[in-house]
Amino acid sequence: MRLLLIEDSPRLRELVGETIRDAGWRLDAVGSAAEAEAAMEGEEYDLILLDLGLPDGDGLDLVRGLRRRRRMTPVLVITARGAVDERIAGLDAGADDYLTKPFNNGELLARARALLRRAPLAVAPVLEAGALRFDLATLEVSCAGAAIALTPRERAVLEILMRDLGRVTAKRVLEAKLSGFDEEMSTNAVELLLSRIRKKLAAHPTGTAIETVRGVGYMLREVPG
Amino acid sequence: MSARARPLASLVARRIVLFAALAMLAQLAAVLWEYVREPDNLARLLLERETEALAAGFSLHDGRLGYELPAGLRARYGREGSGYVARVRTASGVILYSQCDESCTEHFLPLELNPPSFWMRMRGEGYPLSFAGGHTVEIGARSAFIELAIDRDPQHAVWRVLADEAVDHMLVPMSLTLLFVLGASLYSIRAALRPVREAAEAADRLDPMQPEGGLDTAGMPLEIAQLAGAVNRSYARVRDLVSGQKLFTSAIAHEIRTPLAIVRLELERIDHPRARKALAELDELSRFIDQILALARLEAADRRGFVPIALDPFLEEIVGSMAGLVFERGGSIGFEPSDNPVVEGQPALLRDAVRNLVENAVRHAGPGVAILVASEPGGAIVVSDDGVGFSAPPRPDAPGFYKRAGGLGIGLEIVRRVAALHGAGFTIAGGAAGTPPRGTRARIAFPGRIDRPAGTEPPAG
Repeated sequence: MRLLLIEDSPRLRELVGETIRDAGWRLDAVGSAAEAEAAMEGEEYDLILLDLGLPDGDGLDLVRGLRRRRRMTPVLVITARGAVDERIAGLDAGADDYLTKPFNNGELLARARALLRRAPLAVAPVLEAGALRFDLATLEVSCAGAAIALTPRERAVLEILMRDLGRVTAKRVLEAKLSGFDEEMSTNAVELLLSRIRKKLAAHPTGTAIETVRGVGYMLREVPG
Repeated sequence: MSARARPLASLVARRIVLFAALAMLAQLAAVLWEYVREPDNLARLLLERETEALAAGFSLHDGRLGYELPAGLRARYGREGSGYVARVRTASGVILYSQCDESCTEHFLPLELNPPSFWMRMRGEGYPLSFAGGHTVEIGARSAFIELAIDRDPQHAVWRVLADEAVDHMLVPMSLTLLFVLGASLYSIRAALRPVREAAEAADRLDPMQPEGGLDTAGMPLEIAQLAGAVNRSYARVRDLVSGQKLFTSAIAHEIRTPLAIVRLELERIDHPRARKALAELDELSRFIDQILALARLEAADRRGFVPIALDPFLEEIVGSMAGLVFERGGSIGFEPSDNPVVEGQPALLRDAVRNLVENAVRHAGPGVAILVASEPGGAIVVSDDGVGFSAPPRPDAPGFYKRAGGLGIGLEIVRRVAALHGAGFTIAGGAAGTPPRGTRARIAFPGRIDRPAGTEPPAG
């Protein structure tokens, strides 16, 4: 995995660089839009981390230029402008996700991981949450080496929750997924399924919890042990 | 604009009428003086008036001329000793009416004399008037002669003459003039004010957020163009301030948040409890900056950015995005939709408001708090919790009201201002009854929903 970081603050470049390299990824870091253009000419990156406020131009122009050239490299925007409409402008320009300063290392890695999984060249897709591992290649769910037996429907739901780690998955998204299984759905099918998954996970020290957000959906989150 | 502001036309009309009335009084005095200075002329006018009034008593029956004193004149000419005497006769000397003592022969022309068409003789100098005179009147083909004598005018008949003269020669023509002057003035004022009214409407539409714009002074009268120029200059100043504020907030955003990000990442690399404490402080500071920025955004906001917002999906999305924070702090959150009321508002600001209410609940309601966000069919947002309850916020004028970073003060101030901008009512109070009362219930009630509530569609056809 090779990442490009475009950030004009040298100290923030160092710190983010450290975090990224600790995660086992390679990173090129530049401090201006011009350097970024040059770097992207010579290299195909798996993910671009982009600060919007650059000394020689707006970061969003960089994203637009990239998309115009039909380069689908995922872009994670790091922005000091936190207002919702400004974030939406970022997504409209072609960015894939955003992170508002100040952020923490965990957030940065989680977002980066999520975007890398979506990348076309991504290999060995394994979802992780706490001690929980979901190998998408073998469809094996395990915790600390111990396999957890799940039915296909339970696996489908857990996969979605793990992809949305730390964020709420709307109940209707889960219902739509389950309606793909050709059984008749009862109104509380999702609730029943979730309670079965919770029961199976509870037997293991997963370091996670599935929270019910009434009226909205469900959220898998890591619980500090 | 003050409540006492009146239209210019009404001000001008009042003044024109007032000055016209003063002018009339002055002229009236002058005219009366002119008449009073010439008693002979006044006596002649009085004679004409009285003979004319007496002439109303003639009647013709089968070619025979008759006379009866008109009812209104009986108190004057029908009584002896009234100071007024009258005699009516034909040219040939037949007396048709006479209320006359021996003074008749003294005052009037002899009966055998064929009377002139008009004669008059003053019987004393000045006032009150004393005179005698006669006047020939034509009734059909016949003519008659009315004579009368007035001795010191005890019934002040001369005043009626003066009043008639004032009406005929002054009030009527002056009123006509006044009518035209008033009409022309009001018309000119309305015409002159049209550009002012158009300028006022254009000024209403001015948007300080727009880089360009101002009042177009082309075609305006000079004085109004000067006013419009002044408005344009002050508007340019406002625009400068607004863009300065935008620059200021985005500078805060960038220049403060980037160092905050650096400090945060540095602290995360230090494995020490004191670093954890510093991180928590840093989070407070970040939140405070977010709130300051929200307030700054609010300052620059107005109703132009309003769009219809369907509350249920809007709130569901906010609850979803905040669930992480709430559960991380040991609470729980849920959402209760109603019939999806649609209200007018600015989504970014309303999101700030709801976020602040939820954050307040997480912070102040204690661990294990259950927060419920709900919409109401009437068009309202309710954020309630079952926590330790709401303590009344300090008075807004209390010292340090704004200094409680992340505390009740600034968060609720944002909610209050967002609600005010939307014309919505904001209330916050203790929730369930009990001692001590449990929980807090905050409610933003919009002035109304702009869609039709479910189940109230009019029947088809």
